[in-house]
Amino acid sequence: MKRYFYSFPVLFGLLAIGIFLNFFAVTEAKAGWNHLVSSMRWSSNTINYDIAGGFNTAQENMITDHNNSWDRQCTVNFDSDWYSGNDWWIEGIDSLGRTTISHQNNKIVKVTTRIDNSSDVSKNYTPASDEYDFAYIVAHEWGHWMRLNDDRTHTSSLMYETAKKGNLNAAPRSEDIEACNYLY
Amino acid sequence: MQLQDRKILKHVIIYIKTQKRGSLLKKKILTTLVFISFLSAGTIYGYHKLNTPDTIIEVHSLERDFPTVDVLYDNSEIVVKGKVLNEEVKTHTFVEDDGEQITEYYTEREFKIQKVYKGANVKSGEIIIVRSSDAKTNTIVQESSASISNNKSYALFLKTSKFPEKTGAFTFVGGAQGIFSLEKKEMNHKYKEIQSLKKLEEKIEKIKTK
Repeated sequence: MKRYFYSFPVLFGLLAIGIFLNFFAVTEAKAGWNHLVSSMRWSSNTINYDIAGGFNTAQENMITDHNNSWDRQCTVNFDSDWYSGNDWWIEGIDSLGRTTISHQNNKIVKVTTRIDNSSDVSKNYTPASDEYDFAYIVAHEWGHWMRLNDDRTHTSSLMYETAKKGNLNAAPRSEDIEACNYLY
Repeated sequence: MQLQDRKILKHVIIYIKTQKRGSLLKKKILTTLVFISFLSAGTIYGYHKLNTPDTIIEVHSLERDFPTVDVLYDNSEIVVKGKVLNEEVKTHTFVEDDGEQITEYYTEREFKIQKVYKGANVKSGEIIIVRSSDAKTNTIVQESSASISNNKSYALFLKTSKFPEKTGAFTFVGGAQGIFSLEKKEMNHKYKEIQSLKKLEEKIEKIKTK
């Protein structure tokens, strides 16, 4: 028996398991801060959200439209519900959009998105050339709700970390859809 | 058995014994490696579990794009070089329209200015407050991509922060775009052509004389 367990195949097997466990432990320790997708997923495929206030009708419609646009591509769906606790609102912030995702005990407990109320953020469907595209900002922030991270590499990605002025393509790109479907 | 045969047999026995000793040594080394690999995996996992705070908050900010240092400079209120002296995590609590109380975490750092490149209202030697969205306490960790560290030197492109409240603190223009580390080879992840403080200062001089 001792001879069997103390053989080269068993020892090599145990070493392989040990190396795998190290890889697993490091992956766990790094959780959440990967390049494109977060390791922290929603526990359900249907999540509620609420447009809390400050937006005009066109802006509210853009939030809903771009939610639908993501919903069609990914398996997670967000439904409007006044009491959800996951809110969108407009406020003076230091960036164009800001999404905050809180986790407790490995579960997402709250998500909020604020959109900047500065005059350089468009109020309509079609932004002027010196305005930032509200629809693009909203689509990007929905990407965070889908659990995608900011992208520093692919400048054409909807999840790229910065936005230029003018009318931009607010549709999720193939890499965004791929990342989303990889998660769920 | 002849003398010649006995000698050969003796060599064969020595060879087998050596092989057995070698094999045993290899097994001992392998056993040690197995032990180390399990121990290190357990240590990494245990350390991670013990040090994971109750609440982890991710902050994702979509920033305005500043394609060049020139545009970044034009959109900055002040541009300064200096060192982070200390930091303090702050909170701002407010009530949402549905009655829910929200607490915002952020960090304010004292930044001692060593050189002013832009900004009439700040002087060299002065200490300003720089605000960022990251925060770490015993119970929460809030992660943000734009941050600076204690006791490190930076060149910063700053504007007055208005979130979560306007108190006169500054924040980075365009998030991480406004941070140039003076202690890293890659000073800024976006403007890769700026590889030294000298190059940054030359660039700023050029912008000023435009």
